[in-house]
Amino acid sequence: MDNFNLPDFNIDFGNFDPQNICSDETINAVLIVDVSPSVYAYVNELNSAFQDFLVEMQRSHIAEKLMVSVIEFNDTINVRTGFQPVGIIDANQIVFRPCGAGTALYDAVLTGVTNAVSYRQNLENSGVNCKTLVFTITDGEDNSSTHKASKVKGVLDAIMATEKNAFSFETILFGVGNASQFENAQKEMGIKHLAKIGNSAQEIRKMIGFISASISQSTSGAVHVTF
Amino acid sequence: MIYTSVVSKRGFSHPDWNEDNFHITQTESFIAGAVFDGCSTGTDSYFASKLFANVFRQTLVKELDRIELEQFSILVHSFLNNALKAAHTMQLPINELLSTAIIFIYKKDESKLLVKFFGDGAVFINKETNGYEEIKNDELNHPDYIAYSLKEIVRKDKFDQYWQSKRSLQVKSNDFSISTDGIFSFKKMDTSKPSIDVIQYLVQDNFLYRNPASLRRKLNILKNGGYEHEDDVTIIRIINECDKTI
Repeated sequence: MDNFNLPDFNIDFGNFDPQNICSDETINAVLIVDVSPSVYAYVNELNSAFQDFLVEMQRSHIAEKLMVSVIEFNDTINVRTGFQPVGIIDANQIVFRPCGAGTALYDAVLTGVTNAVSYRQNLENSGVNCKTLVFTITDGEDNSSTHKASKVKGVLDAIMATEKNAFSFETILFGVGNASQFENAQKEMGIKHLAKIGNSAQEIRKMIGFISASISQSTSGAVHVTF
Repeated sequence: MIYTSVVSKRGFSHPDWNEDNFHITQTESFIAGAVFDGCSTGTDSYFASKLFANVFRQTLVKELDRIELEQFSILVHSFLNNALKAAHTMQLPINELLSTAIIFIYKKDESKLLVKFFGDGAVFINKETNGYEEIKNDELNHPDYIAYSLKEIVRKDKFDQYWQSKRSLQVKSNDFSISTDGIFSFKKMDTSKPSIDVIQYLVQDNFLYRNPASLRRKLNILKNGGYEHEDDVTIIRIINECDKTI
């Protein structure tokens, strides 16, 4: 029986204890958000749309299956929350404030993806099937990471090489503003999808709306990404 | 505390639908429930089992608070009456009503379990250090479906005869499982992975037993471990931690 019951639940990173998940399937959404000083232009819209997103998801029929992790980054990485059921995340506690002196994009994505894979493994070992969506929101190119983009690509390629992950693990980069700043980063990191958006309130809301829709659609069948 | 966990999943031999269903209701004194297995050679068998589950739920809403354990047969008679009314309302022929039913009632403070079998299925009593006891009702996949005689057995005199002819179980237990016969259909699909006693894992192992998703998660673990079930399977497991005296 030991091979089937793996009681070693790794709950580092502030992740929710898998033993307490009352479902046999979860959607794990990671939001990796750039808070370097350059996001000042749209941070108010981002905060407002993000709060609405959390409230909408908390009311949704998928709330009991949705686990959310939020990571923010400038020249350093700050885990705002590990994977937690969306219902217990206090929307008012997650407010993004531009600060710092750089953009450690690769390190942030690596941190988010590594935790997503580790938590997913823990859940699957304890009988919970997972769909993972990694959303990265940035307006700039990397200038502060200790890891290279190729390191992130290696990790993502390894994940996608596993058959069961191919339709249940998605990565999307939202590039805000000047495309030349983030297009290369998306390619070099091997992030599957790129969505270019403007920094107007309407565009930011559209982006958050897309995140909500992708999460909701993921409850049935494979993970869906539709632009 | 009493913990209940339920799973109902389609087997790999059924391409479209899970033809099993279930219902479970809890009151202050009782837990009553049933598992249903629609006949694969009937018409819309998933519907027959779902209809029975909904009619059973309707019956329990009206009756469960009013009865005593000894009146289990009255509860079942009422369920059959309601099933017949539903069939009349929807003008359903017999072949759209073919489903087995394993019905139980459990008196919580006495840990007393009564079960009635109307077709294939099984009850498992966890004896902890002494393993588990399996009470299997095997009608060799040719059950005397309730629908065959529904019109007659709702008459009180016929019902008493019918009731007596069906297998019963009465036992004290603080950890038991009620299952359709799909529990016996697990196959090892990946021989490179370690073997386990699947039934023991489902009905006796205490992995996450306080979690209502325990059985559903166990089925996922079994699938990851190379085990899949050919037939649809539905299991209700109830663990009564209040009564450790048994």
